[in-house]
Amino acid sequence: MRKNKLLGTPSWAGWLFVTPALVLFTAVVIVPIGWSFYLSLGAWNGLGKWRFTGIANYLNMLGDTVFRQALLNNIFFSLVGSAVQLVVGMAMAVSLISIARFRNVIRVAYFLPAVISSVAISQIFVQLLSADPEGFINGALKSVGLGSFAQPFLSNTGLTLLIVTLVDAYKFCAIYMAIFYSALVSLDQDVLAAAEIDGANWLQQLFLVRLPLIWATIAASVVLVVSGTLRGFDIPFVMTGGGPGTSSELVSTYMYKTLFRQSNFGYGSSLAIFLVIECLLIVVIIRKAFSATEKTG
Amino acid sequence: MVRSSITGKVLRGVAVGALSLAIGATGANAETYHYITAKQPNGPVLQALMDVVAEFKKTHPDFDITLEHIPDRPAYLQKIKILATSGELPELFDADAEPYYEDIVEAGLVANIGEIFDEIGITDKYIPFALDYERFDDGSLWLIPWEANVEYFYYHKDMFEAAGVDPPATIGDFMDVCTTLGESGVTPVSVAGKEGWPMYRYLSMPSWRRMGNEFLDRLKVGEISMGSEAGLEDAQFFQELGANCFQQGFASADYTTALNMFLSGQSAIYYVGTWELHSLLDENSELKDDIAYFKMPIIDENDATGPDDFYAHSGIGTAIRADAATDEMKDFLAFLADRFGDISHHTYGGLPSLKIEVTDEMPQIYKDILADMEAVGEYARVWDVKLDAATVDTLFRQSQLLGLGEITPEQFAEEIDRSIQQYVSGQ
Repeated sequence: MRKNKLLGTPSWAGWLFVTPALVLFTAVVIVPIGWSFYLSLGAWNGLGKWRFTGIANYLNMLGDTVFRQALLNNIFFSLVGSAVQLVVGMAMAVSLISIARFRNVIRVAYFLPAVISSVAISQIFVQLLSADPEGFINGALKSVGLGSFAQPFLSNTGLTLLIVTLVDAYKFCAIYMAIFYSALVSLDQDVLAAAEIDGANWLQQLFLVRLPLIWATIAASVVLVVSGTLRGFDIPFVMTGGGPGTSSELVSTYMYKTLFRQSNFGYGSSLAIFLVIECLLIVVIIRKAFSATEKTG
Repeated sequence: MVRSSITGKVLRGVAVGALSLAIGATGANAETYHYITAKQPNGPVLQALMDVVAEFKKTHPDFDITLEHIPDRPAYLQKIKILATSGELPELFDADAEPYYEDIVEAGLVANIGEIFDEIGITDKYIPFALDYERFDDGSLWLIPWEANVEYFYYHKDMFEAAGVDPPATIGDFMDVCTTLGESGVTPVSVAGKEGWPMYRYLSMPSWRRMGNEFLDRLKVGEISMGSEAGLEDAQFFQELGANCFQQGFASADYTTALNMFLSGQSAIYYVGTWELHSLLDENSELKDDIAYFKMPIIDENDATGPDDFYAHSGIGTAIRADAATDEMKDFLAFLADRFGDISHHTYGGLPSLKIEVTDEMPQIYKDILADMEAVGEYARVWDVKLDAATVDTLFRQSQLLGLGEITPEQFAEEIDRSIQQYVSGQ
């Protein structure tokens, strides 16, 4: 029997430990993806027989103007949303480690949006941004003499995507604050003390010492935030339903409508497979980019 | 030995217990029907239904209906579609006579309500348009209607008086009223542009006046274009409404927001069906002093439909799963036809799909509504029920853009035609 040279255990022992997780992962991830791929190769309304159509659904995606717009919106949502979540999350974390008093109170206040449900946050912002009846933001703009900026924000096709992106970022940036904060406070204080003795000011300590030391955490956060925003659904769906028109439609909201409103399980599944491949590709690209940075750095 | 005997007794006891539990459960479930519904739990339909069930149980103690409410319509439809896909539809569930439900019927999953009603002799007890609304184009009936709704434009009398306008008789007058109300600083109309259906009602009015249901019947099969004269008239009308009548930001307003705007006096006009009547009544079950209503305006004397023809329907109906149409269920439906109308109206103030007697004690508003229902010649069919789901999605997106002035009526028509052609060619 072959044995692990270091541990002296049989070679199948490792597989024994991995198997339960592997079975579970296969059942809840691999099988549904495989099933979706199968459905995407045909036409099916959920009733009756599935009819094989080959790659017709994927070809339809190329000519689908709603899908194209949703994809562009998704790229904007992901890029801007990720940047805001990471930058604001980092700023919040850095501000927390820079203060000594009331740190816990402020940390709880920062984290509050992350624990409120997406539907509640969406409804709060819908009310705040309302034009008729007048919401708080339009009322405030008028009361400070900026009435010319008052408008029905969620009916402005030029603003809705930006608004849902920022509200989504507002909810989730506290998650990245928590990740960055825990990484920053766990840094070796001796290293920071040495930098201070060497004459590094606060900014130099931040950019040249602290951030490089938590680079792995930042890399993992980028993967998390980008894959999260690519799958963004709840806040855009509740706030605008993807509208007006297709102005805030994302691939995920379009997929939902195709599957459950139109009962077009074939085309909806092809959109789902697209999302999976898109997420995987981008995660691979990000990981490659970070590993290249680590090597050159 | 003793130990073995005790173990044997325990095992036998457990087996007998399990068997009796299983038999008991089977017995209890044999006449218990699970009903997944999108109706409001406190609305007249479900309250009256459960009262009828309670009465029926006095003579049929094993019969029962258990309710599962999912008032959020999209969530409800999602659940029903998933259950249909996995072959686990409940015994009773709500549906419209739309293309997807037609697929469910074709798959043989539900009972033919029309045949059952004829078999037990209750068809004549229903208001004809309430039954007709639930029928497919071939005349077959696969859904139980519960309500009889007519849709009106409700308005605040004092706002109209202050602006010096009268209820409009024609669509042209309607636009003038909007303009005058707007100039007097009042939001003319509140509409729930996030919901879809309120937009489609407005959108469809000109073509329905010009051609009756013929326009929709031909549009959905691609025989007439949205870019035709009638179709473009619809689109132009809707765009004008968006510019002159609807509240700012109508595209993001939901049902409750738009209704509350009207109820709180922040808009002058609100279009809704009689299912919302309870919100508009005072403690004597009459319309509130400040509120009155008018019917869908006409265009002119060349209209295909008259002033008494407008939107009248029975709302979302209820299907019975094919294997749940038992003799017991048929007995219940016969009992329901005798009792539901009276309980729904007299106890809960509803307007049932079953014929009810007009009495002197009845509040005037109900007498007027029942008279209007009686006078309806042709009732307008509903776009979001008759068109295919993909076209309804397109209609939703494009209607918002049209109302906001982001696209032209011609662009709107082009998108709707394209979607209908895709559906027709895929059939």
